[in-house]
Amino acid sequence: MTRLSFVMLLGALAGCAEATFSAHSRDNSVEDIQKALQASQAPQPSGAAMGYLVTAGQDKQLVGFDLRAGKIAWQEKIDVRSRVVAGRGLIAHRQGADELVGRDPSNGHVLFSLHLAATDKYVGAAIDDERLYYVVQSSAGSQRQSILVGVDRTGKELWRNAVGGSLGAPAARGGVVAVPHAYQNVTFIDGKTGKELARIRDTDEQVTFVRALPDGFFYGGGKGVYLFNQRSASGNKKESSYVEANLGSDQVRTFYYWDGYQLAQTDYTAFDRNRLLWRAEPRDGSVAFRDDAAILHSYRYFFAFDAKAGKLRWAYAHPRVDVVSAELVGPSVVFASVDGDIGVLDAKTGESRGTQKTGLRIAGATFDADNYAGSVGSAPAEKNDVLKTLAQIIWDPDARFTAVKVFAVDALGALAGKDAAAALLKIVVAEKGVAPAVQKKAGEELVARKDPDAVPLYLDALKQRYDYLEDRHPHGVEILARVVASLDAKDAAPSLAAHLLDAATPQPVLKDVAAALAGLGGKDAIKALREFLLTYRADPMFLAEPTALNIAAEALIKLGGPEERRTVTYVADEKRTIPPVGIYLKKVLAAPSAKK
Amino acid sequence: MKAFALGAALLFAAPAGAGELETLKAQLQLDDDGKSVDAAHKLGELADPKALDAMLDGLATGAPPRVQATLLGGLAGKKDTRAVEVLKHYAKNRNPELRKKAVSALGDLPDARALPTLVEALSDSVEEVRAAAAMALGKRKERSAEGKLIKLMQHKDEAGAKALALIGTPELARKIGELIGQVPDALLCTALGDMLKRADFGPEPIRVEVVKTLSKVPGVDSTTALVEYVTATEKDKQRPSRLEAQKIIDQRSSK
Repeated sequence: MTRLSFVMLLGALAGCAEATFSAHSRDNSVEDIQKALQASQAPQPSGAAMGYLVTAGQDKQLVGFDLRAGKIAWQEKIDVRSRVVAGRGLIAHRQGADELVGRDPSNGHVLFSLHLAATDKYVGAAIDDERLYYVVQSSAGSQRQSILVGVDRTGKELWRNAVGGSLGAPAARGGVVAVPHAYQNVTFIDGKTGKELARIRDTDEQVTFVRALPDGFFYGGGKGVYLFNQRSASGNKKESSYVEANLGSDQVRTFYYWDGYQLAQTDYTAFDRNRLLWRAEPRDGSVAFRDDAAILHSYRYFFAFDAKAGKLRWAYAHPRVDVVSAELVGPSVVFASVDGDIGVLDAKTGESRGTQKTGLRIAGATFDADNYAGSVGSAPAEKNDVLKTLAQIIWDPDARFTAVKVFAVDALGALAGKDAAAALLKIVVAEKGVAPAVQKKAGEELVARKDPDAVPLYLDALKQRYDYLEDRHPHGVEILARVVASLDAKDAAPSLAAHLLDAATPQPVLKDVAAALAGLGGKDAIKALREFLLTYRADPMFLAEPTALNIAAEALIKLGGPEERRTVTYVADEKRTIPPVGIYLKKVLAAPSAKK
Repeated sequence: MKAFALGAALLFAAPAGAGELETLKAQLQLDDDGKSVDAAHKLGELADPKALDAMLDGLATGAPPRVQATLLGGLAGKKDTRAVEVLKHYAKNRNPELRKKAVSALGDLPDARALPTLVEALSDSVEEVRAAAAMALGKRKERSAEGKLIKLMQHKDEAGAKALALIGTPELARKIGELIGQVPDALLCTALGDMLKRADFGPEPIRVEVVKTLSKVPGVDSTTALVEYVTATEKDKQRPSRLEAQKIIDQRSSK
């Protein structure tokens, strides 16, 4: 044995010698990680295609829904008080105040029931092919403890490990259970013995979840996902196999997985209606989202992104009501809506593969349907159209969804073509029906896209004028002014000139209109700018915000000949010109660039 | 037209002491609103045609709103079509008071160029400006504005009703009669009642028809219109429309 291998052996022995969750256990050890990876074998596909639905209201039910058959397989009146966890041949959930119950997923019958002490708070559970693992927070002793327990398929307790700090909800895969530990660590434990195999300590961010998928263990926090592999030993994002979803927008918070430390998230909550659906896989020595896809679920909407490029692939709006739970199971997104629809979407295209009504009021659902690519119920006749769906989301009268709508506008802005420009324009000029934040975002997108094909649309929109008798109130003139200016659409000058001199044009809008005319130039622009300057140069209405007048005057110097310069000189020198304009123009006229 | 271009006269001001007009012109440009307003007022009263030029120059080159308002008021009195373009411009000013004055002055000008601006002002955001435009169009008996004036009435603007009463052709009376239930009763009764009171409205069978239309409108507004009509025609007691109106009043009061 070489000296080096002897030292390594000693180290390995030292790591193994410590008790599970010991503060003295080593972390970020490549050897330990290898050991844990070897122990955690990829499970054989179960072929399950089930949804476990928990109904809302007082008389709660747990309902097994068979996706392949498209119907309810069984239902039990049970006081379910947690998210259901599912594994091969076993599902489990908290029941009532003090039970953790294991059931047969094929008929809902009880397989075993574990008593939870009154001093124990349920944190979460996980199932692999052999065992159930659960975590509780215990306040039985003088100090609060977190306890991880392993039980076999009959409910017999195999081992338990307590720790003084916090443990999060566990995840299990192929005989290894992983558990977030003290916010910074993920500890990997032999499911059979309860002995610690490896520990990851992340130094870049809090680790709030660990998730087991056929492709491996994944862990992370609020910003991204790590794949558990040898590179995890680095303890940082840069050197680990780490990936973040690019949604092309910062308008919505990405929620990668339930926070394993938050007791409120052990049950179905609003977090189930607002999260990112993803699958990940090892790729090129690192990790990537499968098909580079990440799907944002927000209430009744889904937005699928190329998570690398941040480009929208498709969007889906479920009719009328919220989707309470959804899961990306590989080729499909399966979901349950609050009014009992069970649906399947093609994960690549967003096309509906059908929905089946159950008539139930659903509070939440868990799906065990890995690789399910089938349909359910009846499919809609209409094809899913991204533009149409985004428009539907944006114009949804439900006022709760402003952030999602802003996100949809962001996505709309990324779509090329005149139709997308027209959809944005419709939002910008809308008199009502859209929140100011949505309208503002649409304006930003419209200005940014610089779409010359859409110029005729903008020119038409600019012709809209205020009319009391016709109940017309033009909106977004300032946006349109910026848009046509950025496109150098000189044909817009007459309409902009009319807006500049229109009493109904709101005062804050004038500076954008004046700036656009200054940029476009031409006879119409110069005439309007001159009239505007001379008419209002002495009007105290512009004392607080004289920018539009100053822009007009500067444009006259730049665009006009000696006569316009004379006009500006007159305005600058005339005693009654309001001071902010007079003083500014004197400076402008004195500048070397103005002395042509 | 020298609107909104600097006239040479203004840039190279006339020497002092060149008569009252020159004094007022100079005063108009003082940095003292009180004196400028005074000068504007006096220019409005001067019969000298050059006073109008001075006023138009003053408006074209910009001035504080008080001075502009006085100048516009002065233009109204002059009824000179040379003011059309400047008035049209001020009919769109951001200050509603100035718009109102400009529209009223335009209404008094016997110039077809004023018409589009007057019609456009019916769509103004401020009620007083719309009212000024409506009254101007009514006084001009501008039939091409009937449609918009009816719309104005439908928007509950009393000025629409009053203007329609001034235009008041038999066809218009029938058209208004068909609007029972679509416009507020009070405005409909104002339009028809004011039409009846006009000496030039007729012929008599149309008056009877209007009275009967008013009788179909329930409530105090139509009764008031009929009573006012009966009072206004005191000297012509046997007029059939008056008799009809009286009959309706009697029937209503006996209930």
